[in-house]
Amino acid sequence: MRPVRRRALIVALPFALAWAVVLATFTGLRDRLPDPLATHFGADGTADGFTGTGAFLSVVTTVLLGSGLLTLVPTLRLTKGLRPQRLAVALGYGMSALLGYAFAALLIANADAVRASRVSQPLWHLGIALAVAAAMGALGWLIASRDTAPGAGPGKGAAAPRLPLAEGEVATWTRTVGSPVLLAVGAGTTLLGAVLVTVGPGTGAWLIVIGLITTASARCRVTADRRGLAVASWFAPRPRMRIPLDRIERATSREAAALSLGGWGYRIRGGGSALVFRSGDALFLTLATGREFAVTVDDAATAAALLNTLIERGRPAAGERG
Amino acid sequence: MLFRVDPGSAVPLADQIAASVRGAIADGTVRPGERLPAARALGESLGVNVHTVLRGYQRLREEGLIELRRGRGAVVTGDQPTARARLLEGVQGLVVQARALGLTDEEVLTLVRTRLAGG
Repeated sequence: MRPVRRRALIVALPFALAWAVVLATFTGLRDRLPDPLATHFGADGTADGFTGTGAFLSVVTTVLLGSGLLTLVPTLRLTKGLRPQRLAVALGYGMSALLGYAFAALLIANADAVRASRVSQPLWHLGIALAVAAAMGALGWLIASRDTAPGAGPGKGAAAPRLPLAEGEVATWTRTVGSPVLLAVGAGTTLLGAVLVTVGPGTGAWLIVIGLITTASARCRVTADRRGLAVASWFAPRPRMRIPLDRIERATSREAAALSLGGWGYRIRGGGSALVFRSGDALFLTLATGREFAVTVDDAATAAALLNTLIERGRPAAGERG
Repeated sequence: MLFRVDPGSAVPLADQIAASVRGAIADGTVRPGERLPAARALGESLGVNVHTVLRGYQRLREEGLIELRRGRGAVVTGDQPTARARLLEGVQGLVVQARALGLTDEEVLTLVRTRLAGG
């Protein structure tokens, strides 16, 4: 089963189960239930609130399936497994058990009552409900804890690619990547600045500076080697951005749209950052901090394979310059 | 493009660097007009001397695969580099096979000459 479906099932199952249990109880007791049902009880256990059976079933369905859906949707976008979310999963299990028990107990208490006003629900039912909820919550916690990062399951990053290297062999992967978008924006900004400068002094000079920086970074060289990953402008080795090898956990590659990475240029998103030149092949690094770094570059698969191989080899060679 | 050098190999490091570029041009990973990394940066990255890298680049220039220009670095030539790199790899294969058979250089050249004369 795909991890997304498995996680969705794990998270949504208790709500569906609770709903099924309540529904089954209702069907079983159908002939013995009064209408309206007693649905609220005072501290002494006597009924003081009443609801029609139709309304009761609507509420049960809405509450249980609705909260199931609400817990389900965020898990569809998870990439790291349920383990970090195990508290939320446990709360979902506990809550569904609490509601399921309460609804079912309510129906049982109503059974055989001639008039709903005669139904009583002792307070100790709440104690049992909480105990059942706690047990189900613990179960949810255990199940979610076993669902670790996708690397453990048959997920997309299951097999990080490798590149066979001989003992002592040194390898460097390097490639330039250009961005028509950044080039156009940079050139446009520079031009606008130039026009403003001729009209009169002011912000024009700043626009020229920003435009030139953007133009300069519109084409970069990405290098993966024993020191890690480096991105620098194509015409000069510095300034550059560097991620040391010992800070990289894992490397993968896949197609990515520029907009899905947050747009063009250097983007910071929730959970990571990205250098986006264009849509297409991109290299994704999982960092030791748990964050992600992405850079769009052709032939990213080779870069990912090399980095994974070098990570396995251990720390970068001594005596390097950085 | 992937550069691989094995200091333990009998093949000189400069030739290994040249072979990496030749292979990348032959399989189309590197296209005409593309710049090779600066010799100094590549040397630092691979942990080899900058002069070794330049020797490898020089070899590629002699083979007509790249142009070396002051200030512009090494650029893959626009003159059918892919086909040329494949031909060079073929020549390399010929030399390796001939050596494995124990043929002398003169015998290899005679073989090639005969083939060329035969059209």
